[in-house]
Amino acid sequence: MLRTHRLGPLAALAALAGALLLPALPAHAQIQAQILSFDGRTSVDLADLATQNGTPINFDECNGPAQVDWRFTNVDPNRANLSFFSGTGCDDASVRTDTNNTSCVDLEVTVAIEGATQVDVTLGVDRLINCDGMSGIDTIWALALDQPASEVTGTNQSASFPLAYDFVGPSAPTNLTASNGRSGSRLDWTSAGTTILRSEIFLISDGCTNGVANEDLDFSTSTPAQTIDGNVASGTVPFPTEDPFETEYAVAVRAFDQSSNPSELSGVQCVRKVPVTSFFEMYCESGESSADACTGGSCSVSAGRRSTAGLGWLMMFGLAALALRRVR
Amino acid sequence: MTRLLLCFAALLAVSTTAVTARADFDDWTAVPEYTGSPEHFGLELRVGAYYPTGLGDLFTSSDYFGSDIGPDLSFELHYFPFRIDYIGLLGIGGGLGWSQWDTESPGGTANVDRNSFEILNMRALLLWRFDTLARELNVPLVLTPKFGLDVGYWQTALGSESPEDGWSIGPRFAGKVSLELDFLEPRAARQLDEEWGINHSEIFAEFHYSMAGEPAGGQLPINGWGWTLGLGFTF
Repeated sequence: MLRTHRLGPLAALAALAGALLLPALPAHAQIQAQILSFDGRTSVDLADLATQNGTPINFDECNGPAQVDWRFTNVDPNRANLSFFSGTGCDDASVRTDTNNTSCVDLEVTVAIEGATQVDVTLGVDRLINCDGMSGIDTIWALALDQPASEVTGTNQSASFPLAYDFVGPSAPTNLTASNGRSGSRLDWTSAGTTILRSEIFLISDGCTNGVANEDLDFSTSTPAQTIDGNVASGTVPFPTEDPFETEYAVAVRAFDQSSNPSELSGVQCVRKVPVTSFFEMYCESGESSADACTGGSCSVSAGRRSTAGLGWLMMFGLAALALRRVR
Repeated sequence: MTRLLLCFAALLAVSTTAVTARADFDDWTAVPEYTGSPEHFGLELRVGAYYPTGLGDLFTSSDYFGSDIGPDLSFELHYFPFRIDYIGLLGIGGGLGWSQWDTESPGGTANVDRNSFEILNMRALLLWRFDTLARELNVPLVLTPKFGLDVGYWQTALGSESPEDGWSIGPRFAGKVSLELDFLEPRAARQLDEEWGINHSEIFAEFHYSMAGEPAGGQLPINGWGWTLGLGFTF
């Protein structure tokens, strides 16, 4: 009884404070947007897609389109739909509904909330950005609305995030040079910009005749013979070992930017597989050794002709060890 | 009477003092003389160069490996089962070494058509560690002749092509001169022995000749000579 008397004023005070503060607090916190998965990428989050310096969406991903699994949390379950817009000021109903104001575009993507506080949505990238663009950054809005004209200002029932896209490949590598060789060729070129993620070297056997590239070369169907990571302007490409000497190859390089947009191919160079003599071949051919090590042109040790002298030395060593033991 | 008592007390005091002095003298013990821990093992960490002269002048020509020193990296572990007075330690040992030469091929593409030649050397040895100068005359030099068997696995390749490889076996002769470092800081050397069981540490130079592949006709003659500098320990 006494306790009730003491707590009574405190409870009343708390109720009063609650009554005063409650209208000022939002019913729900800001909607949180998260990417769960992105087709073709092992990991990605909103920060990766936020700037051109990250890993913007490339043309293939947009044109694919790559499917992205989104998760929106802290959604007000009392609202009807999660609607998507692109542009600026989209959390203002007057901007959204103003047909003369194009700063906010309705992406016409609406997902029913159905009384949930967490909404998972799978969307193709092309539903959020325009694949006809070149490169840029769009701000995407996800709004929890009862209807498109609903006002969201003050309720924090919105999420906005930038989506960067880059559909323009880098310039083609220039000044390509390539050297003849036996096991491969070394290539040097001038890099096209500072945002090169990797370069691919293409090599087509018999792609040249007498140092001139064949006219019917088609690099689009060939797979890269070598991939060079980073913004590197040189690399080596191995020749197929089964090809005979004097085989002529056509080589070319294609660069990819940080969005994996490809450049045009560099100019084509012709290289030749030349009969460079290795040390071992030279040694075997010189006849300097009377040993059996160089046989059949393969310069491998012939097991059948191996001398037993080595075994003899081993036996001598064993006998010496035995004699030493007896002395002890 | 009083004088008599004083005299007796003085005598008693003197006699007691003398007894106490004798007791202290008996309790005195000499500082034990330092004796090293058992010395049965040796470890060598080695770096040097090997010249497989059996492969001819072509190997060391400027076209191929003439500008590449190797190097030859190796280690050896020795076991000395017994010591003979004034003779030193006798024992056996084994070691593992690696040498690699790498160079451009004449007429080939830089960084593509590279020639490489590699030898992985395993060896078994008989050793005589003649440390009498150091033990008896305080001259910190130790001589170690070695005799044993080299088993070498060699591999050579051009660029990314499949390598050629094989085994070459032959006797090995070596002579090592060591400078024991104990004299630099005898107290630290003793402490090293007492705490870690390391009897001696040394720097050394060794010259060796390998006949790997030379006596056996079917093997690649990777025989040659080499030198090694290193750091050694006995424990």
